[in-house]
Amino acid sequence: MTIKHTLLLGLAALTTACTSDFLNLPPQGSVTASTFYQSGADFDQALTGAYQVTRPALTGISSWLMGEMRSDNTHYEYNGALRGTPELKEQLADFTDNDQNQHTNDKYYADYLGIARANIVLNRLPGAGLKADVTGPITGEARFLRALFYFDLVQYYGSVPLYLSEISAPGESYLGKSSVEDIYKIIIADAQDAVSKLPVPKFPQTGRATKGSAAMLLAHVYMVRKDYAGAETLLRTVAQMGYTLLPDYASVFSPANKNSTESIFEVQFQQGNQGQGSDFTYWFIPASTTTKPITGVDGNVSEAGWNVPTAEMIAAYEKGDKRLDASIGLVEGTGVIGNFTPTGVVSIVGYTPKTGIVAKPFVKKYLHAHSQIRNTDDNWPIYRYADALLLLAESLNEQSKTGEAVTLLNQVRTRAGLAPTTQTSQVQLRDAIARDRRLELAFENKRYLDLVRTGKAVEVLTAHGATLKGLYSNIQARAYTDIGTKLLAPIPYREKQINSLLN
Amino acid sequence: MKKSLLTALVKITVVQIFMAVLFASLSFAADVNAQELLDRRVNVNLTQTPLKDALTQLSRVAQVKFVFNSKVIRLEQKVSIAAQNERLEDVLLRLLTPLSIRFQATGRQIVFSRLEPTRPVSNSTMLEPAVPPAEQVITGRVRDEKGGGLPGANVTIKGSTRGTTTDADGNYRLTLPDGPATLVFSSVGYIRQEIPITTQSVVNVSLVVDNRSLEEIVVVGYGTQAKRDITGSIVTLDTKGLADQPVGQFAQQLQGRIAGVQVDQTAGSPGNPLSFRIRGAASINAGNAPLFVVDGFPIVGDITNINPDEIETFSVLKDASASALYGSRAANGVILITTKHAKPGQTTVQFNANYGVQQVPQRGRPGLMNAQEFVQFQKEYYDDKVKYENYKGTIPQYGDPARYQTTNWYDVMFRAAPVMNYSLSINTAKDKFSSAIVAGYFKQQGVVEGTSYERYSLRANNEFQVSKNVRVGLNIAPAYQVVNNSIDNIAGSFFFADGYLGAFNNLSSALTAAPIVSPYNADGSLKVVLAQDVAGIPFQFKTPNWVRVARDRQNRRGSLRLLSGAFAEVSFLNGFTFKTTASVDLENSSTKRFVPAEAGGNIFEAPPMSSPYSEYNSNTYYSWLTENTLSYQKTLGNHRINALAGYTAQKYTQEFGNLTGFGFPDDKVRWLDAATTKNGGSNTNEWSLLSVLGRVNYDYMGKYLVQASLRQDGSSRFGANKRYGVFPSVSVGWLASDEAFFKSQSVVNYLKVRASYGMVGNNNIGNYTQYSNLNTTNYVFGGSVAQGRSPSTSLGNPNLTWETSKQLNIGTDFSLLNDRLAVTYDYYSKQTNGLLYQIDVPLASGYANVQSNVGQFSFWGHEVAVSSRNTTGALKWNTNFNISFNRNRVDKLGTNDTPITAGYNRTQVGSPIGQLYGYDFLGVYMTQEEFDRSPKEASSEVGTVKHRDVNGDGKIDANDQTLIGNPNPTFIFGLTNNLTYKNFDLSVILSGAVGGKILNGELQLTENLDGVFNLQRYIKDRWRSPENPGNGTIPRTKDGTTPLARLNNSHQVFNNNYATVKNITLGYTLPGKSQYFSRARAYISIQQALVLSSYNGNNPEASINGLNGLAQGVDIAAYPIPRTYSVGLNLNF
Repeated sequence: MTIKHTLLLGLAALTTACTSDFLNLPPQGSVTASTFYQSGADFDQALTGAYQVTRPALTGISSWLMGEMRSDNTHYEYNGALRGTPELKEQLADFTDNDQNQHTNDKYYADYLGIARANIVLNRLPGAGLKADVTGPITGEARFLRALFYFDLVQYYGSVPLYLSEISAPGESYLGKSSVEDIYKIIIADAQDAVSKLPVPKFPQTGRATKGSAAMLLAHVYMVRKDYAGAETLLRTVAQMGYTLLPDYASVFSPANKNSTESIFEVQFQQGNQGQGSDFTYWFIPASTTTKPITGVDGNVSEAGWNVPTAEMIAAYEKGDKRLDASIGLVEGTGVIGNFTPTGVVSIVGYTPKTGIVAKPFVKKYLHAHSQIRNTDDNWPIYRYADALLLLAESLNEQSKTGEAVTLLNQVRTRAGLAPTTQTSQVQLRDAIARDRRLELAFENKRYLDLVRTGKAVEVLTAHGATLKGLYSNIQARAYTDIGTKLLAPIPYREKQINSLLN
Repeated sequence: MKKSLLTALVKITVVQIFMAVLFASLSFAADVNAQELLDRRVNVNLTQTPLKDALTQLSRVAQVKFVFNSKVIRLEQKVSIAAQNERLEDVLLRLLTPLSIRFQATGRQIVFSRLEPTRPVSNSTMLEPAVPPAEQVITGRVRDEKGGGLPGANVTIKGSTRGTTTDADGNYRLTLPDGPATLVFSSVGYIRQEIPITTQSVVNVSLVVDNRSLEEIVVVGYGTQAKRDITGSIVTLDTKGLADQPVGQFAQQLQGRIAGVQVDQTAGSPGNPLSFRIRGAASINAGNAPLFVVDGFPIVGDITNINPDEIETFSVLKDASASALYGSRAANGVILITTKHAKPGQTTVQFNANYGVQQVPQRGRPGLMNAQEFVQFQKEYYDDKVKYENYKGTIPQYGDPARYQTTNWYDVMFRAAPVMNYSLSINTAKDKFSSAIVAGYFKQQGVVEGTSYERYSLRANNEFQVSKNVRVGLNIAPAYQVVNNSIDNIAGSFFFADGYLGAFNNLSSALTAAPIVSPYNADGSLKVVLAQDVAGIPFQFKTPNWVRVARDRQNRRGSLRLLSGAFAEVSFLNGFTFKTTASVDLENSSTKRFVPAEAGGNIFEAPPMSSPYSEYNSNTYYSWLTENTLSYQKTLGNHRINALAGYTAQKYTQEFGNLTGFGFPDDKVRWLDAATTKNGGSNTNEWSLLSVLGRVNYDYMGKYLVQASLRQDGSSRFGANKRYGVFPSVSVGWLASDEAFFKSQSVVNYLKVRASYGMVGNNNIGNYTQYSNLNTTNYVFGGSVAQGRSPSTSLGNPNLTWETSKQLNIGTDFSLLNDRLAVTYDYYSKQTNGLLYQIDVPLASGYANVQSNVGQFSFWGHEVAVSSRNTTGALKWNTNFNISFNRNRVDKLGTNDTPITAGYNRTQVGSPIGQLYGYDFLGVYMTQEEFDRSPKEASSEVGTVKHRDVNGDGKIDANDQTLIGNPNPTFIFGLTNNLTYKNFDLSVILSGAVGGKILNGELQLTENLDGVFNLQRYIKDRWRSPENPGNGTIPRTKDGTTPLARLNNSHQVFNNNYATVKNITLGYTLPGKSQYFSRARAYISIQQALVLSSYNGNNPEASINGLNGLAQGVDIAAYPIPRTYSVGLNLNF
């Protein structure tokens, strides 16, 4: 019997000693949700994760494809040898895309990713037992971000599903579309709460959302909703928060002036090895065998030459407009597309073509000194004070307060080195504000939505398409047709496949 | 502490099994010799008890086994006996002598035989009437293979129930009835013999040992079993005769050998692991690789670094009854590998050497354009561009096509390469110590430069018999191997317009290079960039020189593996064995990659790169296992029981780190120390498994067999709510050929019928899948990096658990014509439930998917294995053939049966798993009229590709993709022939598959009509105008219309019926012995000798995703399998 007892005791000892810990092996390489979301610091990290989504959602490839290249501001450099991936981008410019286009899909997904991260913060925060002085700003920022993402979604995609709480089980993830009205109700409620909970900006700013950011967002929403009085009220409060126009237009975009007094909200980047750098400029320069003469950093880019300013865009600048030189540059070089060897960047102002040299215009706004390829220091502006002034001018003009509108418009023009506007009538002033808005906010992903917001999209883009078809033989006949039916981007094919409620 | 289910179960099962097997045995004495047996003291007191019960009781109290023929000894007769502490012999004498039964102790058993009545029976009233008067008395002696008397052999009269058993000296005496008769002599382990009786009165017989013996011992999970006792589906394979293949991995030796086991070599690069699939196993996310168990240790790492020469046998456990003891890891089948151990009394030294040369066969090389055809195509391309697209750009001026020399880019990538294998084995087993040592060296250069495989291995298996009841052992097997593979695309993969990931390696890229470009400069050096040296070519890629890429990119993985185990085994009481084992599987590997600036880039990006790039990854894992098993054997009369209970714990820990570096000043220093920019990371992975297991085998009379087993696994991988899984199985078998009625015929000499049912699991669900992990998502505030954390794209699931596979198996084994022909047939039906399924959820939820146990696959199939001895004379010819029909069906996917599309394959409910998916190619819109009346895609024009409007909505779009081929073969088969004649031996091994489809993904590049790649030769027959419309299968080149033609479509799908002669070996054994060696044999061997295939690629087994059921059957320029010619030598000393 002793053997039996010994064995049994041994087995029992092994079993009880082991089971509790032996089988419990959570990952050591990452935090799990069940042990997180406790302290204010935890929520701040979760909120930081939501901020991070502003990069793919509002500054990613799809942002400038959909915000600029789909408008009359920019087009692309056609590289016939490079098919496949580039075609998807070309389709967006040409209005030949479909619901499987990776780029329209990407923006949709990114906006919702930001919404989901904001929802987690908003859902879990009340139960964490934190003090109001901690929860207030966190709530404000989370609601600002959620409103920002939903506003982007509703403008680009129209009626979409409305996710307002954290998904904890798969069943909760299947939602049908909500009406545009309902989505705006949420956006407005979020933005209003953010305005009330967020602090006024303190300069220098950090990049976090402020009362100014939320008020600007809400005013923009009101403008889209054509609630000009509502917008005016909010924009007047923004004007009281200490924002100014920087004296020099070009310096607004300089990494040296990140989050300046002109900045109301911008997406943050930082060059270096921490994975926080931006790379906009590498998409915008011409495809080149070497990048050194353009960016100062050695390397080559084969898939580039996107978001190229159109001739009509370049022509839209008045003589003497400092914004032209700050926004658009020329790359000089030799060789054909796909095998282009640049020699350097020159100013577009007063440029005289040279024999044997090709000069390619490109968006220069985001080209600043940096040390590694595809790792730049540039932030991306979402809202800045000039935008606020122009929106305020527009809201006043729409309410027939043309006099004050002119004053505001001229503040912007003066900074650009231009004479005050000569327009006085409401109709003329409307066009003048729109034209300066196009140039002031050029390549900041505003143009396409402005055209849609002001009802000009079909007219302007149909004409734009006709121009391009005359210039480029590669553009297909079906391009730029039926634009009126294509103003909203499609809900991604994948989502419709998975979620029958969307059909 | 919370009392776990496992704790409770341990207590219940272990205690009960303990009690059950212990109670009767506590007073038993230890094992003894024959005389001791008879000297045992027994207590017995029986009155009017059937003889059977009396013997049973005596057998139990004396702990002896009685052997007798129940037909001869009447068990129902009543007897009385009383004894108090008397010798067993005395008691038996008193009991049996009156019954005319004599007995003799042999070994551990006592054999009874009937004494013909030579004297009056004292208690005759208790006997049946005496047998009828003898007409004829036959006497004789039955001898064994050594000429000694064979006790206990049965001698029966065919067609009657009469008979006797031989006595301890093998003598028998039998009275025959009137008329002709046939005597049948049989004994377990010997071939049955029948002798017709005419006038003889003395018949002496020598029984021949049954070599294909049903007593063959087979390695099964947690032990061994006699083959005839097996009730599950287990196939064993001895490595004798496998060793002559000039290959580096044992998996290559298993191709085509085992019914139901598909082993495919999906790429020929040296050291590339083969893909296994047992009984069509498939899962969505949990893999289909079987569990490999080496000497009882379920290993976690690579199997490629096991030297095939170390292996003695394979046992493949195919059904649940065979594999359920491996519980949550057994769903894909289990392959038990037993390494070589020295045989008792053996002392041998063996040296094997093999040297071969590998070459890529001509068959299967792609038929691409030569320089003239290419130039002609380019000219026509621009002619059409001008004609149809109003093209005004640059037109390349190629001039006379004849002035170009062709570079066949496929050919230039290859070379002839050597392969060699040496191994030395030393076996000794003397006295109490046995040792088997195998040292091996294998080296294979790849047929592509920059690829090779090298392995140094050693194994020492040692055992020591400490005392009569205690045995200990220690195995240790270190192996170091190095794999170089420069063709893996380090620069990454590309997304094509269609969204499919193209894992295009350098071989694939090389196929696209223009044939007018040479890899060499005029001075013979390798070019850095491939560019067409023609003025003003606008749209051509500049690419790396693929020859240089293969040669100069370094991708080297070195790994040191140690497999080791120690055990101690104690036999005690009588029939108990306790075994405790500790094993470790440990590997330390590092991968170094270096891409020189001149060998960087990819198909879209030409070198030189701004800087070389380098990576250094290290990976260490160790897995330890402890097992404690208690087994018990007991025979009670006709009842035999074997029981096993065990407790095991295993833990795996992996630590890995990776470093990458850029900014090297040059190629001179190729380590990260020279990099100016370095990034790195490290992490760990762990899992643990805690299990109890039990098995009971019972048989009655050796012919009615039952087995039941159970394992409970607790796993760290399972969600907190589903931590423990129970995996039971039961099986039954019937040895019909042991029944008396069966012996009346002589055609079928062995027949067993068996059936099993059980549940096994698949725990390959990822280590942390149950958790909602938060990833780092940093951002910048105020100019400094702010730590951010966000959920991963997968939603956590605390209910996550193993996949369960319910498996039914019905089979039979039979032998015909004196074992000349042996057949095994199995039918199986499996249902996998709770498939780990990544349910895609709307990305709008913030998540991409949730891991869930939702999904069901059904599998069923038939397997037949036939082995025959065709001739047995001077020419011995044996054939083994196996064929397997595996079928499967998707029953349920996720919550709403959303099909899974993985690259080129789709898995959808109601269809077999992993169908090829794409457009149904109909040809080309040949005329305007045809175009006008046909459904179209947005980019369609006359002369462009025409796909079928599957959904009938009048237009072609993504919704018209459909199933375009089933990559699952209708059947797979293998055929092995072995012939020996005098000193010559020949073996031919063939394996194949019929009825599957394969998709040639490379055609997406080599049929690309945009004029940027080299093309298949037949592209010349494309549509160019209504007057010159080509052959109706190749569309036009017009810009913007071409992508649709190259998306996955049925035009790229081919029938994949093939038979591959895997190996032919011809050997010659030198006659006699010399003073230097005892046996010497030389042979020549051809590996991958011949591929007969309906698919025109090099390797019909090619598959970029291996035998993954969900994504099989796609060939994208797979590394070809070379043909190897080799010579070898086996020397025994």
